[in-house]
Amino acid sequence: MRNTVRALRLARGWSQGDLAERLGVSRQSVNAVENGRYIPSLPLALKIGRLFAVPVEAIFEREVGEG
Amino acid sequence: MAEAESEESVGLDWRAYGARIAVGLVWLAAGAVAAMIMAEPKPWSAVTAAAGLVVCAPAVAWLHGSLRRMRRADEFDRNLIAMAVSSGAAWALVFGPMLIGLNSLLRVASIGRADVPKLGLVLLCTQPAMGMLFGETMAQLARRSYARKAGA
Repeated sequence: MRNTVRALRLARGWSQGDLAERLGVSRQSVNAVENGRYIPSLPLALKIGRLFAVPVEAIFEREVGEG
Repeated sequence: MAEAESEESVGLDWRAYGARIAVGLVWLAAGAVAAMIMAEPKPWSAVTAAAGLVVCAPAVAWLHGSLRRMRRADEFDRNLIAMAVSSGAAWALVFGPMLIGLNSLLRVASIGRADVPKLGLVLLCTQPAMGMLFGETMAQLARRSYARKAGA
């Protein structure tokens, strides 16, 4: 699963810590999501979408060959 | 704003992990001592009861502590804590019964050697601590893996 969370965050000039605080999660969580290692739950994904005012499906995208 | 934090610098909570491992090692050593006390053929006493508590009580404390940590954690950390507990429990479930069998085999093989059954009991009594050490280490490895870029 690819995502544009890092690009969206950097466009706003936020650090991972800033984003984590706004989302109410740890910086580790933000880091893992940005790295594509951790797929957030639907509530967290919706929260990310709402925060950046971008639809969730525009942030998270399945990679080619993903089941 | 400059990117102040790199993936490498993401908090892996090594200090907390180190503290838990240190506690686990103390529990491991205490479990071994408790096993030696329990292996002595003597009637029940407060000392043997205390030895039993040394083996069992920290397991309850660890599980209780993990549940409390889960309540405070976000969804990502909750997964890791659940992984620590489930890996540790799986270890104890798999190796505990195996060690009971191994202890029986040691008893069969140790005719005339009183120290061998003690070794089996030591292995058995240290299983809860081994489970905790294994579980916490698995969760820490996962935490480290999550901090890397996908495909790296």
